[in-house]
Amino acid sequence: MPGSFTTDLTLIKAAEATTTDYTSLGSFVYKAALNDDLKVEGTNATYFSATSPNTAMMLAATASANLDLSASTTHVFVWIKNIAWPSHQTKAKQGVGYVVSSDSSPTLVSRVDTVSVSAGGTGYTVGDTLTVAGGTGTAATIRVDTVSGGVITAVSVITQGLYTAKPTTPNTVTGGTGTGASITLLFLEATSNSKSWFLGGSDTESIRGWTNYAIDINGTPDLTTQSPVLTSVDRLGVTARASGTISNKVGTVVYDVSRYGTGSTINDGTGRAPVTMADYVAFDNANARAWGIVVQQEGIYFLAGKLNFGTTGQSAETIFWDRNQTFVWQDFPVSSSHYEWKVVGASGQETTFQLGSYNPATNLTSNGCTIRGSGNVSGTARTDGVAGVAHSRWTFTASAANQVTKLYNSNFTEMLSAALAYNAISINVTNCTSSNGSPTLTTTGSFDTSGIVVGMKVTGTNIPANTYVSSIASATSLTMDKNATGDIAGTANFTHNNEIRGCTFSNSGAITTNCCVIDNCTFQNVKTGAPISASYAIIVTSTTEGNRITNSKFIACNRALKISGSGSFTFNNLTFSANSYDIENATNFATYASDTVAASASTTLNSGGTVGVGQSFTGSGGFLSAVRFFLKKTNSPTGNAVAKIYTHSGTYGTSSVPTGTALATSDNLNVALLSTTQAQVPLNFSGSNKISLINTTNYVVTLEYSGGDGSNNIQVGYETTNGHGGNYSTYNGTTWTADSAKDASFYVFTGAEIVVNATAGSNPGTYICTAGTFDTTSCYSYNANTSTFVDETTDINSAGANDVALVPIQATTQGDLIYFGHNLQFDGVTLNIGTAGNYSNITLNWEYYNGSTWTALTVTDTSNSFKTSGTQTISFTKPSDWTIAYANSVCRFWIRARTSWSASQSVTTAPLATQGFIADTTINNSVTVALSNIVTGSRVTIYQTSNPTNVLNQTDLTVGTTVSFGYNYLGDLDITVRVRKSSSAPKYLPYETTGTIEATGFSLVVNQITDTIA
Amino acid sequence: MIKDDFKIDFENKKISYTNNSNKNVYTAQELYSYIQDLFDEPVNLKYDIPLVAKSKTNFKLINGWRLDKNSLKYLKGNIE
Repeated sequence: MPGSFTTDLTLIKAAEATTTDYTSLGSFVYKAALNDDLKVEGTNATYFSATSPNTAMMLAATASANLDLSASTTHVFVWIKNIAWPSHQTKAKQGVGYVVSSDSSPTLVSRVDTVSVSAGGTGYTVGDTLTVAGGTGTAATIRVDTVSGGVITAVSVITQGLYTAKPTTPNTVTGGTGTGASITLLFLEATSNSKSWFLGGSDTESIRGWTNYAIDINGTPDLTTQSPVLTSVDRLGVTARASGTISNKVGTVVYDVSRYGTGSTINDGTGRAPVTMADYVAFDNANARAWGIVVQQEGIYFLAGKLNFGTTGQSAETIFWDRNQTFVWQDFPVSSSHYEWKVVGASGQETTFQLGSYNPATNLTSNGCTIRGSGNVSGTARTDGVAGVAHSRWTFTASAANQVTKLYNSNFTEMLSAALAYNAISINVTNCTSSNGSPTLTTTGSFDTSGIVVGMKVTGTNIPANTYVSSIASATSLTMDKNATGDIAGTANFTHNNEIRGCTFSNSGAITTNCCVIDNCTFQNVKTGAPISASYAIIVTSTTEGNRITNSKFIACNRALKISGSGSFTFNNLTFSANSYDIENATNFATYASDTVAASASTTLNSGGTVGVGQSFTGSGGFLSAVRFFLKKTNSPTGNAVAKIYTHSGTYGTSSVPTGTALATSDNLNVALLSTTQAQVPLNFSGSNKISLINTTNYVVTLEYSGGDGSNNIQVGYETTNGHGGNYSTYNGTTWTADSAKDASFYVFTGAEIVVNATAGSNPGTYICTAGTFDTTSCYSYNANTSTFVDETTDINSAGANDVALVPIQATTQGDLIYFGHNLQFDGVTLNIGTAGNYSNITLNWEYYNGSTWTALTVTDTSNSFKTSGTQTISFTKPSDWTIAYANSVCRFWIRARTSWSASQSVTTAPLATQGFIADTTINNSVTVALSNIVTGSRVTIYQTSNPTNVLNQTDLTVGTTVSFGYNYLGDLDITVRVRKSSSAPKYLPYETTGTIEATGFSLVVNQITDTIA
Repeated sequence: MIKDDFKIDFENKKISYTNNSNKNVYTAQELYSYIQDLFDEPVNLKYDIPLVAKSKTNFKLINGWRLDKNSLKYLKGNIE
């Protein structure tokens, strides 16, 4: 049998000792150590039977064991076999449980559990508080729930009390407005200074065999009595509560060895044959051990603890491979971090973990496994009503180096999270030869195959594409799944990576890919509420990670993909449906190159003089989005200025000048828009000009303008305090000249931009931004009645209070404004609206500045004009003529919402936001909208049905019979198509129809009918 | 000219006879043809068609369009 197995479990009690090692409390019979066929481990087991409706405890371990169980990961494992479930109480009523006590000689303490009326007395009032009389300890109190003519008819427990000697029952209670009541008390018994967990009951357990229960000893128990000390636990044992008085002839509960720890480790250092779970279970469940981390019942593996696959110090590789199996994490009171599969390896001794099979030649997966919790994870509490502990959720971790994890054709549910990795390990094997026609690669000398594992991809001269290692024969040869066509000249490279193919994840949490390959998978119903609260199917931190996800479906997820790294992503057959948002843009802006020292002087740019200034800076990664210079104009210059990024030449900080052709050029800045007062003016980079700025590489950013003249020109601010490590330079149209005494007052911005290029049927549509913060003075509200601007930037960047004034602010004067702006053009604002607006007969007009006027902006506004609270998005397509503008003298790319009305306007509640985010999320997903069979000479218009002003296409079909154009698909869009031809003969009846542009586009065969009357 | 005698209020969907001085009378079919031609213009494609023809003499207002009562005095044929 392959495999070597270890555990971190520490023995508490083996159930082999005599009665002197046990303490028993309560009403029951027991046999502390019994040579019995019921044993799991060793020779003996222990049994007992509760004999009355009260609770019995059978505590093992020796007195003054002083076990320290306070480590956060410590769980206790105990084998329990329940013989007569129908005789036990329900789970919530402590049918069978586990108890730990820090008392070396614990005693029985009692609480009042339930109460009923024995004698109703007279003169009582509903709501009276009655106090239980007698007993030793803290008295319980009881509420009078109903009376009839002053006679109590129903009561309930207010406080349970805590007694070392129980009061009598029925109990002549005191207090209240009446006299003579007598209440029957039913007690719940417990161990002094203890914590108890209710593990099962007649309502939750069926008749079955031994179960190795796992308990988070530091978690929230079902019952705490007095003040147990987990650093000094003396007694641990099993409790049981009968549902009534039962015969004492039968032991209803049997229990065996108990341990504490976390789980087991699977290694395979014995050979090349993969170890399977069956191998592990055979070892684990042997009588000599009975760890019980995994048991198999009726073909299903039930798991109770952690499983580690490989170790970081292993001296041989570990290979685990299983197929067609079902694994279930059991519904035990464990911590949320307890249930885990973790794959690790050692350098040169890697671990391979594989579920299911994959044929790279056909790209088909098969023989997968199912790994899941036992269910019941969709609500906020267990169905049995016991809250405070985690159940049946698990994590998969394989992000460490030196491991290969391959998940094929498998189903994962109740998975809390998964962290995987891409291991780009290459092993160069020199002087290799292969036998023609043989898949065996051999060398003339010995080479180290220890780093080579089955499944590695092999590349090299004469090796066919998609060749994989299928087995390792010896230290001088291995077998590939394809024939080499000849000798391998010199080098063969072996690479592998974690990959997930053909799998389904549902009712699960987020996967952190770490560049893992994900292909042909489905992510469905990623949980957003407790106890999983994952929010995302996959978290992507870079374009490399994102581009390794292919051919997959995201269905009904809160956010399908959380992207936290700026850049340009290609979505290859990623389909989205019924997600709250397909993409979460979680990128933020960065201002890593700037000189914030205010400009003290300026360089004038105009034709015939200086036509450019430059400033060197050092890249630190990121996706160029915008730059900002301190600019103003004199008189009336015309034309455009641009910013450019150049390769750096010279000595940084001393003689830096640009060289070569510009690496990136900004959008045009119409200098006529500049103020005559110096201000920070942003210049936006778009499309392919959004270059990556390489870390530690020097660049030069320039501002260039060659228009104007000596009277009409622009000025670029600089300072002379050496506020930046780079240096200034000027350009006369021919030569760049460095000026080490100056630095431009400038900014370079990166981040908060995602470009998604949808291909192969991908249909991302909805998106949200959650991390892009507003730059200084980039959010203003304006009260038209008081003509006052309020800078909301600090408030909108803070989640602390509901304090961002949206509009309308008031209903006296039209023209309230809320401005959202940034240094770069953006296409979305996400707002957390804390107070929804309640107003009437007021219109919000969204606008942008087109260089000459504020112009209507078509937005998708999920907030319904700030009338809906919660997380809401304002998204739009960036207008092609969007220019900078000045709001409250601040120059930005602004959008704004402006109030207007005609009559009877009112504001009951002005809307307020708690926080907001801003970002640029561009989705390029062109689909074809095609109309055919149109009569030549017709006029065609296609517009959004719900917004007729949004005309997608209008064509005067002077020639041809078709209309076809590309549409950037961002979700299904209902459209109306109109085709008319009445201006010239032959005339046709107006043709009109509706349809929907879907992810596949839109196609329509027009059918016009001749108009014989017109 | 019918285009001078009838006013088409696109926003309020109302057709009115406005030239009460010359009192030209038109057939409903002529009005229908004029409207079909008018609504074929690119700037008018966004507006709903006012009339459908049931026959050469019988027409029906649709899409919420109205015809002022005065207009009926200058139209021959039936417009419902």
